Amino acid sequence: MTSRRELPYAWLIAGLSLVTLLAFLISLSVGPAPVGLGTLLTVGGTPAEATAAIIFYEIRLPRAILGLAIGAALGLSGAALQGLLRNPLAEPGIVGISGCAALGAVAVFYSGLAITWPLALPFGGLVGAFVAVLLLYGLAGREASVTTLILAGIALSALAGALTALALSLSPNPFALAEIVFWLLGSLADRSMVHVALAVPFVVVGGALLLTSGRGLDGLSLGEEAAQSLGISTARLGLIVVVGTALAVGASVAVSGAIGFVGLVVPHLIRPLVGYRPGKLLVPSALGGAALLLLADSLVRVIGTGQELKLGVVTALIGAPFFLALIVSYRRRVV
Amino acid sequence: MTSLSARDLRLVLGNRAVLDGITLAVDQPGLVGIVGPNGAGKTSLLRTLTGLAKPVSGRVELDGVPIASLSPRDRARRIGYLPQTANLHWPLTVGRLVALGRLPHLAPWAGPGAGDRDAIDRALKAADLSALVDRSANSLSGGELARALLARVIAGEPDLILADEPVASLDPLHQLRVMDLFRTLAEAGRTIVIVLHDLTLAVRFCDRLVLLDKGRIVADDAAESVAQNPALETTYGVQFARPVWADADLLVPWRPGLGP
Repeated sequence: MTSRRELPYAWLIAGLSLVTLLAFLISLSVGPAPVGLGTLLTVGGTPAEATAAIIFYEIRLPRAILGLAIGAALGLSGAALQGLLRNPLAEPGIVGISGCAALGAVAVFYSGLAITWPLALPFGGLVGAFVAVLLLYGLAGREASVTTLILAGIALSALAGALTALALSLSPNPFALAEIVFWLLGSLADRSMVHVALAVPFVVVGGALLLTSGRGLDGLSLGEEAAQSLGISTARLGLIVVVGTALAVGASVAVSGAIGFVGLVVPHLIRPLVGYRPGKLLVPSALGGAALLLLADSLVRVIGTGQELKLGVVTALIGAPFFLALIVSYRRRVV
Repeated sequence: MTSLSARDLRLVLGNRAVLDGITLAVDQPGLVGIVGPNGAGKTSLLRTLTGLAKPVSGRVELDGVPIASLSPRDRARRIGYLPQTANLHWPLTVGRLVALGRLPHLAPWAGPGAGDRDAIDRALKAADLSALVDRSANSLSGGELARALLARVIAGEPDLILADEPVASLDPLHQLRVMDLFRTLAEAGRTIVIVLHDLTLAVRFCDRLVLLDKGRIVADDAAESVAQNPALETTYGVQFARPVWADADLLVPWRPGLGP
């Protein structure tokens, strides 16, 4: 046998696909209104049925699609970044993309543009993410080494964080402040098909880019020099992973706010199951991220609190203790 | 027959010329050792010959074709490079680690085919690792890991193997085993260039030695001749005591005033 915990790759993909599909269906069927999947089968003209259809297509479906796409984007880019940096602690936030996307959205809030034109918010996020990529490459140069890229990303994250904090502390009124803070916590509530149309194309293109990085990431297991001697252009690989992450995660943050921990924890959980191969980790991490986010987003809808819990809060609340437990179990095994 | 030649190489790192006026031709199968004190430019020379470091002037040619004009993939198929530090960032199994050597041969999106698997098996056998195929690389001893990393290079079946201090961290028995493996590969018709620190091993196993000092070639000749060359002692700044054992020259470094 290879590793005690490794699963055959095809089984893993099949299993995770099934879990993701179930999570998608669960996400479609939970919510404050009693609209289940069964409602859809009874197509009729009564007002109640028409309302149910509206709830399903206008509220539940966009939310589920966004959960799927954003979860996949976070899991996939986390796996790719951990492979690129050869560090299991890397996550999409580390290259500064999430921070800048959030800053872009906060700038829109702050300017008041969000009140007159709601879609200005995701646009602001997208613009922030693109500016981040331009700045990263301006700072690090086109032949950037992985370390330079990360240092530039950390600097960018810090700058975006400081500017966001500045916007918060100079906030004109407490309502705007509350709005910004809530948005930063991350949520998929009240998103429409327009949000789907805004985010999903970028997630698809960015995800496709990230999926091409598998072989390069495998080679990089041996270190940068050995990878280069195997014919892998590590500078190009870095560019592909950073731009792919910027597109996928930038668009995600733009519509959902910052959702932490998915990109960190999911690749971690799945890595032993694929025998630690960075290339083979990509697709399962995308599926796992999608399933986790869909389930977390279903959970926030059934937990009975007055106001719906923010998704980013829940992923961190589940993710962090889980991660701690993981670290403890690693320590036991290694030491 | 593969020939690798370097003409008038000059490589600058920072403000320092680490290689200066290096002209070298390796055009016969066999084992060529690169020796010299720390900082002489051995690793830089190897990296430049591999195409990983770009010289400011001069050029490296593989069978008459400038190495800079080859695609990274073509270059990777023909030249195998074993870096100095044993890096393995994820605990892959030995079989999968060795399989990475086939990366430059795989078609896009395809896994290893029958030919690739045969090459991987041959490499595992050559490095005496067949029994460890399914072991996780992080459970290997230093000697086993060194052999696995070398098997990764062998699996690519390149015409030319360049290895940077492949025996530096090994115990005496494993040093001999790995050197013997290089010897076997050389006798099978491969051209191998290795950087070595142990002069006794270098003289005993290599056909030819290139002695570097401060980025220049001091001597380039048959191994026995370089061993007798007075420049060897001046370059290293030590004397060599030369006891003889089984007709082989042993070079034991000695410097008055250093040591009891």
